[in-house]
Amino acid sequence: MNMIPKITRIDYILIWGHGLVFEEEIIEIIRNCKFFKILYYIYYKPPKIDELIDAVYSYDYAPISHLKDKTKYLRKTPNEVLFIFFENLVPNEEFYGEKAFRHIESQTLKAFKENIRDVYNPYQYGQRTHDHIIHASDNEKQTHYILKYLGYKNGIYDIQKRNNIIDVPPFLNIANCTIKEIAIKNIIVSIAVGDRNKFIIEKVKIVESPQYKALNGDVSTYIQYIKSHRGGAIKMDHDIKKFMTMSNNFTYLDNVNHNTFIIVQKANMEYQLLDGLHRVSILKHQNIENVKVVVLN
Amino acid sequence: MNMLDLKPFFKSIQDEIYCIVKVPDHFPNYYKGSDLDLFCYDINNLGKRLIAIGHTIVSSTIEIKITINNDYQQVYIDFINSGCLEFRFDLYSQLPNYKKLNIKQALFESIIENRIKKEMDSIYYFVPNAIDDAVVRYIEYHEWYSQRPDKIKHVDIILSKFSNEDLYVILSKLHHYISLPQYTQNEIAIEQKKHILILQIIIKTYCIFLNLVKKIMNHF
Repeated sequence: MNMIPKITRIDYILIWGHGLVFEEEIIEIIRNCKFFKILYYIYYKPPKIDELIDAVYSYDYAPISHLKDKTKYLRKTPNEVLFIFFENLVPNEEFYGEKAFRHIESQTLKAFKENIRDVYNPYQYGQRTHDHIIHASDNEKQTHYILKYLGYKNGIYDIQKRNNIIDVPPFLNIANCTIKEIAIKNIIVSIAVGDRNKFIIEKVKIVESPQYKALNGDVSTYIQYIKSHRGGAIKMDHDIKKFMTMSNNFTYLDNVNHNTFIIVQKANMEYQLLDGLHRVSILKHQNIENVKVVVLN
Repeated sequence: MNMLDLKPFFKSIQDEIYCIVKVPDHFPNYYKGSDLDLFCYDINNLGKRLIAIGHTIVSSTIEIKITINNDYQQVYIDFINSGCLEFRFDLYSQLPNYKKLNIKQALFESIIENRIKKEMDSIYYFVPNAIDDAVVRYIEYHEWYSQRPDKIKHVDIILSKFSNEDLYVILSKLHHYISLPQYTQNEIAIEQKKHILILQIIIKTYCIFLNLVKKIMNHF
């Protein structure tokens, strides 16, 4: 990886265990920030919080003495974190620090991070403490390395949409496929059961999915589903408001999204859905009988 | 009457950088089961645009089969009608792997950069200039003639269309873009070592034979 300034870059915000109580609010603030586009969540429970702290700060540029103080309080925090990976559309990179500790940071992210800390960091005697509830990347290299630490062999390339002939999410690899029209009733979907600490995947009909139930008025089930599985079974950004807005005026494969097919895989007499549960739920709700899909070979 | 109307496809890719090679005379009509070869710089984008038009005709009997070869160096976009190939877009992001001739990859860019614009019903499409078209046809003939004698048609077209001066230009360009077979340094060394080893074995065998003859003669 090189450090040549780019137009956009991939960054991450890490919510430490003691900040997870503010998870929904922080995510909402990131969503509302026009400079950031959430790509991926990873909920992580390290064997020991010390290991994660050491891994995260091993890429830091600050002097070790500063880091020791900075990380002392973290070692007492709960043993669970949430990584939020996002595209930083306006990094506005600048150099900070002196001599050996001189490094590049995104001014946009730096300012955003400080705002979050101002609101959510613990306060003592009216002063904001340094018991930060979030950590943020200084540069894309750190994002790349932390993803590799978390087991993503190709780092940032594993969480980005691939530029293929067919638009696919990061977790799918398209090789050969067929675009064909199939009956929606033959599509089965996967939902997670449990929570992000421990879950299993179950195959159900579209009408049994939380997404479809939300369209039929049961929004709370879907909200709870997202909260329970964010970063675990659900790695992409599921936003109930965005989903409900989309459902009001949805045209599959319109001019804007002409290449975003629902993706399935043949499973005996049925088709297992691989990507597009929101769209297929909307189409089912619209009583559409047949749908053009990409069938992976 | 063709099932597919190719004009909307080419309207959608007018601003892409591509070149149709070996354009048949009956274009934009086609024979069922035939294909059209397109050289392009951005195979993903070109493919996306063709599929964006193509999927509008997908139905219970019509499918689009996409085959990706060699890590996106070649993509087939096949229109299948009731189980049979109707038509294929054959997209290339680099020169095909020719086995009978070593062609420098730079020819690919040369063909695209020197393409000429043609028009049909206010839709622009791009083809190689006459010289490049002849070069590609000749390579095609050379590559496939032993398996497909009908490829002689390419040579017939070249001979009928071009003057002797033009033929000189065509062959000069072809000559420029043909490279010698590549041997790596290791392969050369291995070949040389093999020859030396064989020579050593021959000399040793000869010496052993000579010694044997000497012993026999001394004995008698």
